[in-house]
Amino acid sequence: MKNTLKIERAIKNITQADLADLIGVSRQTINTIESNKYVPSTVLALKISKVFGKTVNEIFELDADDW
Amino acid sequence: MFVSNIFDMQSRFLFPTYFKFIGWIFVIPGTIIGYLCLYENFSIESLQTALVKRDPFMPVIAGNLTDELSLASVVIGLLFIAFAKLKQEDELTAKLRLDALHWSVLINYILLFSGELLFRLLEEFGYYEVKMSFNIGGWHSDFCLYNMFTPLLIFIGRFYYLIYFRKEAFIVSHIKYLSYYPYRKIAKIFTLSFFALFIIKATFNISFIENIGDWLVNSPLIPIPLLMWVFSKTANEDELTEQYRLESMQLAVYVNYILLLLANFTFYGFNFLSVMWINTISTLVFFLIRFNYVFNKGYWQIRRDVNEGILS
Repeated sequence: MKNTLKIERAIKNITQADLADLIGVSRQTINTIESNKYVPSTVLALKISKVFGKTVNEIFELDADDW
Repeated sequence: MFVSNIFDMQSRFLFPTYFKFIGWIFVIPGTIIGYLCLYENFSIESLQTALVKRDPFMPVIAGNLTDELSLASVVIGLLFIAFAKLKQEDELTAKLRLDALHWSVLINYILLFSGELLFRLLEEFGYYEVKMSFNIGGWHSDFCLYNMFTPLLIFIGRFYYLIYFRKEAFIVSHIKYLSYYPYRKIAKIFTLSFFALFIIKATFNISFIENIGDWLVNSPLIPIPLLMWVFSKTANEDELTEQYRLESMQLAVYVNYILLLLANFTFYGFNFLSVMWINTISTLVFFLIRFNYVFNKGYWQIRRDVNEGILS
């Protein structure tokens, strides 16, 4: 799964730590998601999309090798 | 309606964060006193009790509780260090916790198997005699003793490696399970027939079955089908089963150490050794019972909901 978390953060101008605080996870978890090593749960993905005021589909996208 | 109380993967049954600090307060003196007690014949006078240690071979020995208390102190301390909450627990740390729990259980068994195999081989060729009593100071009893801590030590090592090794991100690893077919099927058949045999043997005392039973009971291979069952996929392995696995393994480790601590203060000598052998499978047995209970409860709940037309 790919995501545009880094770009969204840049647009909103918030750090990984800020985002982590907003959704109640650790900063390393945000970093691990950004580097595409961890796929967040639906709840977490929804929380993230809420922070950026977008839909989940605008931030997270299925990859070819997810199938 | 089928309502799960689990919204995302989370670590439950953990101690508050500051218990990590309390853990060290238990572990350090416990280790020092335990070492002195084992190798320097040290004991604290005031812990001398009028308690009589019951042992089938040595009926009456005056008890000193120094060794029991230091063992308990180390075990409790390690439990606190291992299972104190992180400052920020989330679904990913829960996943890493599950990974570390699986590692600790699996590697502990690999150590136990290879150690026991080595001792049996040495005994077979006459280089070493494994005494059937808890003979403090012997290599074999030392090995059994250290084996009580290895699950916790491996867990702590693995978990802290995943969490802290890289400063910026966690190390994510994916647990590889054996496939459902044939492993889980075979494991179920072997495990259940072993326990059936064990119960028949205990109830009816039939000599033929008894012989097979004895052979099985004395065989160190018993945990293998149990391990296969624990570490193989369910028919549909998903995030929900992962959550069940995490909770069940966590509880299984707790139950295992509670049994050990109780045994520590109630059984001595030979009995204590047999309790330690029960302890080698108790984690797996408890895990399987707990996991299958919650797994099947969910399944029957869905079936009921489908029948009532709530889900379709």
